[in-house]
Amino acid sequence: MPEYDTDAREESPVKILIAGGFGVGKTTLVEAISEIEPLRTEERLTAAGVGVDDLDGIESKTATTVAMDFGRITLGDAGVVLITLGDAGVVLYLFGTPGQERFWFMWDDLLAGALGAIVLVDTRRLDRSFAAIDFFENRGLPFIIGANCFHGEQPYTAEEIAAALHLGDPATPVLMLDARSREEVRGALLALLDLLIARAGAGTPARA
Amino acid sequence: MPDGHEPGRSRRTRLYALTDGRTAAPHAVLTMDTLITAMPAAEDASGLPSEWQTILEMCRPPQSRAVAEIAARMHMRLTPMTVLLGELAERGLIGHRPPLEAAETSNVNLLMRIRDSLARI
Repeated sequence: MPEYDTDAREESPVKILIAGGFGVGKTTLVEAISEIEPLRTEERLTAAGVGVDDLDGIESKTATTVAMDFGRITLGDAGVVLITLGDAGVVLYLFGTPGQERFWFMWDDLLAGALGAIVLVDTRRLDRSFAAIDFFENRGLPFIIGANCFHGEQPYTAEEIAAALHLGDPATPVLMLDARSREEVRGALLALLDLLIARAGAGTPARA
Repeated sequence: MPDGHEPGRSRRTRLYALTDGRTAAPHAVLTMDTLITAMPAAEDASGLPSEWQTILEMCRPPQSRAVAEIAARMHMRLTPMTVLLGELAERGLIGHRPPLEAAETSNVNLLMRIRDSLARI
């Protein structure tokens, strides 16, 4: 462990990633559940980080800065719930990952220590989320699929969506959700936690 | 280092003015989700640069914030903020808690506590 003393350890940061293609509703989802207005963090890219060919026809502003939106849920310090980890509570950060594939080199930091991910898909544009699914499957990060119902409607069943996504693990949960709904987003997070608990090989079955 | 070539950026505060001349990351490994808490040594911050005071104020226990959140609230990009926080860490003004180690992310007890807490928010 690092050198500082236990006074600095009131909270443990934990992290869940919200992934999916550009425009699929990641920031909306974060906004629905975060206790703070989603914040945007930016990183400036060096030339080495961006394929030179990718810059053609792209405004230099978007080509040199990558932004991530994120929110926060404090579990334990809000006076609502007290959970203890030793003496510590937990801060859950929800990071919306950069939607554009060429920024994915930034995901290595995000992946380290992440519990899991929600991959948001738009069934009108499923292909936009293929890359995120491949990425997490390759890296072994557990994830669930959230099919964003943009107008409260979804013409496909979960089974159809799962089949169309060619999921490596057919048991990957596929949920219908409205990313604007706090209840539904929380439900998706709970479903992810259930998956993680099951994966962690609990002797105790996950509670419904 | 950005050098003010771009239009609209010429009035940006020079990074080294905020980091006390430091231009490279110090020993502490701070990532965007490292959690920062002000240390007792930071209680009398009156002689410190105002940006430092602002950061220490937002990280006053029991509050603590991720590097990314501090960067966003200070309107700074991640890399300069990491450098600045590294300086504060070296001076003993802040403590930092890294994100979970890989082994901890499959800790069933932790996951179940998080789940139970989420179910009640």
